[in-house]
Amino acid sequence: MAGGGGGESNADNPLPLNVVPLIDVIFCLLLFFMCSFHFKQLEGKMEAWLPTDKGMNNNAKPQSDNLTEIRIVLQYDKGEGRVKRLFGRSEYADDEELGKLMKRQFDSNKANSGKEAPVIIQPEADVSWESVVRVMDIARLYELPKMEFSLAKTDFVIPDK
Amino acid sequence: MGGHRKAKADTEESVYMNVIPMVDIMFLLLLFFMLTADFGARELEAVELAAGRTIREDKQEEAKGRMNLNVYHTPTKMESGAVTCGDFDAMRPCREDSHWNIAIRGKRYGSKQLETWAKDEAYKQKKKDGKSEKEALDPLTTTELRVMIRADLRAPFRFIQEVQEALAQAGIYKLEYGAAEPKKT
Repeated sequence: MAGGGGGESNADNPLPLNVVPLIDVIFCLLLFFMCSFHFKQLEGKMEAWLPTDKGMNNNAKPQSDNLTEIRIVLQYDKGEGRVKRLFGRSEYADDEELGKLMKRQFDSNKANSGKEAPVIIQPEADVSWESVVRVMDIARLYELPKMEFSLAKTDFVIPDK
Repeated sequence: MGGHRKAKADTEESVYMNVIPMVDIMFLLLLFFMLTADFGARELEAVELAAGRTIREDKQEEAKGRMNLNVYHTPTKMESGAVTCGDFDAMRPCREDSHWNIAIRGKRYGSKQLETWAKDEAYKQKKKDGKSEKEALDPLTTTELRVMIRADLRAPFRFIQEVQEALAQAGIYKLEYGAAEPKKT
């Protein structure tokens, strides 16, 4: 690959290639690429389609105590500085417990009505995105096929840039 | 005297460093790092994605024709435009709205601009799909345009909600959410 007479004498090669600048440049390039190289964390995706038939539903249903609905409410508790995950009126901090409960409800709904009920995620505006993704992850882990977001009307506006 | 000098020259030549293998290896290393350098990902802002155990690999062919929308925190600890955010730096959710941005292809958007962008993109896609002018302008006529929302895990949900609303109002319903493989401990 690298031509040039590194080990040949000047007598054998009347036009010796001076590889020193070449090596200098390659070293610089190598250093640059080595420094800028980073092993990326594997990125993937989760899909959750928005409803196609209703458009934006401004009349969001209030939270119901009816446990046939798989609605997970995420509330930010300012006092405690943490996000509460509510299913019905109970809080479930444990992922496994929440997942099993959601799955049980899903199976029960399916057995009774033959329909696959969606998991409705209802986060408050202040809740961190990580908490929402975690609920989506639990739902997928327990093979709950449908997910929906319940969005309340807000006055929040991002100023134009 | 002359013979002595010749013997010295021979010795010098015999220890001459052979740089060919070194250059070969350097070329290979250079080639590796050049090929793996990811310059094509400039439309993706640096965000710390939330971890998901159930994420699906984002294949390159699936990313074709998809728009990437980033929700990211203004970089901290920089001299220009810097904001110091203790919460963000400490990996806690930052709820200061002015610290967060929504950007597409490096351009930042506000709520109104985002709505306009979504409507324009949906309109273009619907026209491409052969929809009539009336259908293309109708938000209830959905489009197959896919949008990937890459939001930082510390972002408040209201920013993602704002994006979802703008997209839904334009008839874009195929949303994908960027997530990362959990870090191995």
